[in-house]
Amino acid sequence: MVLNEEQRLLQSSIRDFLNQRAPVSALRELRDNPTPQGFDTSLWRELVDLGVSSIVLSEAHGGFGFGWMGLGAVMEEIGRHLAVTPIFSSVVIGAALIEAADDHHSTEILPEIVAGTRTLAFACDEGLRFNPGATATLLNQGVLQGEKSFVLNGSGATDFLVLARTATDTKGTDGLSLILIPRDATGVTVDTIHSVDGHNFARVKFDQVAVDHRQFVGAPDHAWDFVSGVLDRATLALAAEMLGGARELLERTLAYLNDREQFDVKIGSFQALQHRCAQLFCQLELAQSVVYKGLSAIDQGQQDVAKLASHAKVLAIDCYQKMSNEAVQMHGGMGITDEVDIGLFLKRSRVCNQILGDSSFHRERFATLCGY
Amino acid sequence: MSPIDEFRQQTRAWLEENCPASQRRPVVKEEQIWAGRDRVFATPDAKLWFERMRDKGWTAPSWPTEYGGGGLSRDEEKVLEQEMARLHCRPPLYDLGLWMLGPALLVHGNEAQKQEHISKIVRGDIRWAQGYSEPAAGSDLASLKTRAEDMGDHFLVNGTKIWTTQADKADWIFALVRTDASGTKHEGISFILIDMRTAGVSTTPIELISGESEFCQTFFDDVKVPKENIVGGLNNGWAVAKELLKHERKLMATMESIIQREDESLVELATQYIGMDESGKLNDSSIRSRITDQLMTAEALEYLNERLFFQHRSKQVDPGLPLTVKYLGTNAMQQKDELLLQILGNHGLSWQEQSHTPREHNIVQNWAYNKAHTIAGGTSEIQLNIIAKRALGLPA
Repeated sequence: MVLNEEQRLLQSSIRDFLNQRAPVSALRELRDNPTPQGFDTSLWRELVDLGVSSIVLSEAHGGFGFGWMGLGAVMEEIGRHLAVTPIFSSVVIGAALIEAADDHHSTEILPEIVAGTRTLAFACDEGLRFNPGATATLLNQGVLQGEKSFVLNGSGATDFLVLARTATDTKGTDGLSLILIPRDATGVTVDTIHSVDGHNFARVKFDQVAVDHRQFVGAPDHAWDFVSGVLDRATLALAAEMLGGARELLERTLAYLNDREQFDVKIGSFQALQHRCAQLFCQLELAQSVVYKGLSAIDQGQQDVAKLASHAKVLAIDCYQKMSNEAVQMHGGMGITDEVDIGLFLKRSRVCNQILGDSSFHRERFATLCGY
Repeated sequence: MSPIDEFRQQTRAWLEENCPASQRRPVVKEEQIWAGRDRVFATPDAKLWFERMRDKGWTAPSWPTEYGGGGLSRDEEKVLEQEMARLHCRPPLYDLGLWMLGPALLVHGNEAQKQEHISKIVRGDIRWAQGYSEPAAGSDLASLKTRAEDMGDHFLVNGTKIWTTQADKADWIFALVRTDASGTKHEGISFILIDMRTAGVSTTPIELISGESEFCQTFFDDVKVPKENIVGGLNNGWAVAKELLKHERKLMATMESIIQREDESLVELATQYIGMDESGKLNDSSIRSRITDQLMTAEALEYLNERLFFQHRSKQVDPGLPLTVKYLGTNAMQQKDELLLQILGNHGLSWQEQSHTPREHNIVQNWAYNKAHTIAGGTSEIQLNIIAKRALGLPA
């Protein structure tokens, strides 16, 4: 549950790189001058050259053996810098899904994902929030029909991994399949949505899209058997990103409290503020411990991390949300200006809340897994 | 097989053979094995278990063997803890000397003091009390006034200590006393060991809101103490006190596992008192949600402790982490108590022992008693002060 030497070096090299290449000002630039892909393709190119596009894969598929603790360290840095990249959708979810399905796609498209020439987007959410059991997008007699409401990296992806119902008369997560659909397939419409945090996602419509059997990823009708495990691991990686953001906020707030003077003293000397910072620190370290527990459990070969994933997501949501609210408040008037970066973290936290399940979803799941 | 796996296998086999079945259940207060000259055992099994563990040095597994400890490495100690937890073995010995004084003495004591006191602690021969707080020195501990006056061949101690846990049953007390009043308040404090049988020492139990009297006020009237009983050097007591406080905080945060409360499963209790619907959910959705909060905090604390263990092992301890454990752990314990009380409904209201099941009575008593945990060993507010300054670097 601590980073080893290689993982620490990885973290510091990614941190140095992002400090140089993608500080928070890069997010502002992208927000004010969006690219068609929704991210900076040359930044992604450079990250691919650093090896992040294969980080979750086995060494047979080009991974370097940094493990999930290593990925967590990278995601923390992404969170600290608010960097916009397809790493989460295309690698942490996409490549991991392809590898877990373990079929012909592994040889056909994994190398292209690792090379950065192909990027994936996972198309799952349909209503207002993550609820894969309610998937209504239907593949019937070779024709896909449905609409996905919250597709991360939807604008930049070359292909979609679509969760669809293929067995009629099924409910919940039974009877689902994962289908690879090229972005330029006939009947696919992509609407880019610029989100509150300066990132973007897409609404993607699949209207009478023709599908053949080679487009199935993994076994038909039983996709949830492997998708759920991949999403649990991705949830832990997301929680690591969120805590990276929370930690950056805490550090920025402490720096401000050590600098700003009122009543002729540094405002950081006020006990009311000190106690709130100390409580935030405790909350952060508690959540961090669950994330490390989950990531190291994966590295130790634990197959089922469902409970740890839900646990980590809930604590990360609570922590990042509280930290961002407190950071705004403690920055006073400056905290509500766009000039200061704090508001960007505040907004990012609320977007992260919705990715792969909100607090209600994961609290309910935790309780069910614990049997009460 | 690696040496540590081999150790695990041997430990498991030894515990299975040597821990009596009756010592593998959560311990009730009356059956805890407290150290002391007048040590009593509730059952012959308790005596057997204690003696077997003592003879292996496993009452203090990681202390050096030359003082009777087990001499285990950090990893081996962890394995022993895990294997004891696996069999639900009761702690073989309860004593403040074991939890707090011993570790501090190993760092700051001289050879004669270690020889004299450590092995007696390991053997459970002496029950120790702690003399820190005074009626006018609580959070501001360094303002303490109990004096030890240099009389040439001995010190003469005068003053009073409060919240001295079980001082009425203790054999010895370790105390902070003022030996020099001329400097700042942190200077001029010494750490001293006093035999409770010395003339002039007296104790008065204090009745608590839990109905028990765990704490005493202890009085020192012209108490003569040998000069060699100062630990860590004259006027250097604050350094010893701080070392010891680290262990006290750790203790406070892990009190729950030491006490081994019988009512440990919230889910089980809630199922019994509230019931479930046909889909297997608790009938009260608000309590169900609060149980989620509680379990998530409690399990996260386990992971935090585990993380701290690995940090110690790789010698990269985040300075703020040990402090967070005390603050969060004691808060979590109290939240659990409140939840337990709510789950019991009006069965959590009666103050007569005979109208409760023993378990219900325990829950109510613990709820009241555990209010002490966010106060003792440095209040939660003091913990936050220290975190803010030491871990976060905020100005004084």
